[in-house]
Amino acid sequence: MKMKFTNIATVTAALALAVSACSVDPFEDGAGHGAPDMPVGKIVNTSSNSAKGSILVKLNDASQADALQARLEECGIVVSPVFQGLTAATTKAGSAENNLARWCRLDFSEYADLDSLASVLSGYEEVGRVQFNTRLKLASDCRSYPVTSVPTKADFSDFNDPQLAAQWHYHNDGSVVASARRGADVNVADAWRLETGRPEVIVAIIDQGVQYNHPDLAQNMWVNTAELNGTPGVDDDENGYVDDIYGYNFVAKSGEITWTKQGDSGHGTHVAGTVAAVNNNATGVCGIAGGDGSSDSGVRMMSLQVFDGNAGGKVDESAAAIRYAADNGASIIQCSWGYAAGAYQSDAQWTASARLEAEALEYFLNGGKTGRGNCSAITDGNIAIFAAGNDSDDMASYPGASRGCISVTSFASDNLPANYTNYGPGCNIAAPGGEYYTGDTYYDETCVLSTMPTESISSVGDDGTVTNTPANYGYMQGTSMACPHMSGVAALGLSYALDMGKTYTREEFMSLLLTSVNDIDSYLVGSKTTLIVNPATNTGSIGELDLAPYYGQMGTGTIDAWRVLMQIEGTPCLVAEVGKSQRLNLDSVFGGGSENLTYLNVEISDDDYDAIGLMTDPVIKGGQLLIQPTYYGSAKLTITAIAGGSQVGGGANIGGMEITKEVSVIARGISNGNGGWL
Amino acid sequence: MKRILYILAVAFSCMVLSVSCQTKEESGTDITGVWHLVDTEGLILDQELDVDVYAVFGRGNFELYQRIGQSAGRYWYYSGTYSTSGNVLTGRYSDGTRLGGVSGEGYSISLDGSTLFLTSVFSGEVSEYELVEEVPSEIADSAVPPVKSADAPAPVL
Repeated sequence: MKMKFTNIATVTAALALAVSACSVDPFEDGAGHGAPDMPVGKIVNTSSNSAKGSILVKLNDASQADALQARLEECGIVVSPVFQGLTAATTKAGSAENNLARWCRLDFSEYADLDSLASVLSGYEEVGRVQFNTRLKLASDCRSYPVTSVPTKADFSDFNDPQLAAQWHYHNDGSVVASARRGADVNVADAWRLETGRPEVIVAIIDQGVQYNHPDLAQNMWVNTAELNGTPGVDDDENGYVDDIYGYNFVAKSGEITWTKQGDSGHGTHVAGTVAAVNNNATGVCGIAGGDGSSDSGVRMMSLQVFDGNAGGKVDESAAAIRYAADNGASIIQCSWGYAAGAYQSDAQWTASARLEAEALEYFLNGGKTGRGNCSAITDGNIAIFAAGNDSDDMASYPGASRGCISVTSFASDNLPANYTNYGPGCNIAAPGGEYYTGDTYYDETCVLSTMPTESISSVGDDGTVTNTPANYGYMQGTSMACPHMSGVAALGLSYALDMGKTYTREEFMSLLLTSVNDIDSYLVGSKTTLIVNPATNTGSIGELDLAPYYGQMGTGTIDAWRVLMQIEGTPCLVAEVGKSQRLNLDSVFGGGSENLTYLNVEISDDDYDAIGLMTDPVIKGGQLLIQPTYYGSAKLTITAIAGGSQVGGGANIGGMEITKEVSVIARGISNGNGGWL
Repeated sequence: MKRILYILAVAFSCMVLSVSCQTKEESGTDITGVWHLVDTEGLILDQELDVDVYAVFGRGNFELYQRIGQSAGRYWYYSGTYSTSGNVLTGRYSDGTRLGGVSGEGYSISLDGSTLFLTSVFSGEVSEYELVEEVPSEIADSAVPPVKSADAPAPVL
């Protein structure tokens, strides 16, 4: 009893301290006075950029939540689970779910002094960890511009969507702007001949709310039929969330998805359109995995809202959304947000400090409560895709930079890095994200065209200026826009794997994606003319962007949907000449940038070694496979490389992803460079 | 000077005519038809490699439908031009790659009824083909050219 009184007194003092501080300066940033520079003991991070009025704790045992609530309720602190529906009673001790059930969110007065409160909480014996509820940011400037060009039928596809011709990021003929380069796209038009997406594949759009009734999105929205046909206000499917029909609003803790509040920008709706706007419906734009117009085609998207007007973006909301995706059918999470580049500089640092998100991501990657992938094409987990960030910094932002996630950089219509993109360690692959200034002139059309909310959103800037988003469709730029290209292609790949009856481990499928690329490094010479932003003053002017720093730093190359489908069709096969020492190009195995990758090793079994009469071990020289068979025959080799940079990420490193590919070598009397048998 | 030029011109004309006549006089072995690969140096019959190739030779043009490699599901489509001179086959794929390996020396032809043997001039590798009526429609319809249309043209440095 005495102990309880002491605790209450201490916490109350912390709250009182906050009120006192408030009287001095109610708008003082929590990162200010008294904030520790480094986390201490149970406190895993700092209060820098954290949300006021809430803090996160991880209990030593999930069953202690009620005891903590009892201890704190007299102080006006409300304890609630971060992951709704996960409690000690509903989870098995020692399970991955039970681990997440230990996380609680404490809500209190926004005037409370966070550092003092964290210090008090870290003294509680039932509290294992204390984490400040940091705010994350969208990887976009959130500006959007209307479509002004006259719609014309695209000549590269049979689809009848009137704006498809303007979506250069799908098929770039080099005409969008003078400096545009043919082929600077995701090459999806060819891929659509084979696959347009299957509804069994679900992509979770973790972002602002997606306008689920948009005429160009509605058909491809995931629908929770148990809730749709259930009783309003009741958790009909007993998943812990009430009325989650098209997803869930984790900010408002509501099934009502929103997209038109002050502070919204249409970001979520734009991202969703790139993944799977409905194709061939004679309306608007196309999505990469948007189907062929028939109702049983196209992947499905659930809207997991973690930004809501000017609210949201806190780590507990994104962590809860990631777990929801894992346990409600999503096989891909599309995440165009994160920390600023440099906030964390190694996986070990991020895992230790951003513990809640790291554990939620691990749960998702490992297949949630079932431990299997939500798509049957992946046997052991799910795929997380993040934007690399728009800080023009030489490293990827976390969480995307972490070992298990795919971090996407952005290139412009000239096949060169966009002026804002992050690059360097942690970046895995590049996709088109658009750029306002590709050259010395401003163009809307060089950005990414996708869906926007049908009702224009007004916002008032700091200077009182009112801006309105374009209705229905619009252009945006950012790694936020590159990221959904990758998610769409990944969803297309999973759909095709289902078609072909192929299954992969998560690592295998990620390796497949990261090696389905075209080369970008050979273009990174000299400079490009674009807008150069001075981060110190946040002003920009037209200038020359030196391309040398980007060499080898944009990931494995630019994603190519066609190559993804081709890799799914079978093991890449190389032909080598008998009796000749030769170097074999590995583009068909590791993508168009194969010669610039860092390779770790080549493995071959004794049987395969003998099968083609090798006299020495095959090795990688100059980015090519050096091999000398002496017999007619075939052999399998396993080659390991690094996707993104020259060192593998994880632990004390920020870096690339280790990718392993199996390749078949046929030894015969001749070999043609193009692979033809004759 | 004019006389020298005249003599050279006449000599050149005769040379061209001579070459033309030689070309016209030589008729190569006729291999038009649809040929299905039976084996290449035991790779298929002895080692059971998953290699399936149809070669369609027309009037100076050829098409190739091939699937090579374990677990590869798709047939690739190639095309190009060829000619026969005597019993030697030479030609190029549509991307400029020469038939018969980088040396482009082609194949020597041996035709025995409905069996065609192509022996690489460069390496001596022997492939046996049998004459068939047509490329199965499911193969012809699904084959795609190995063109990576997203590949941007190489930069001019």
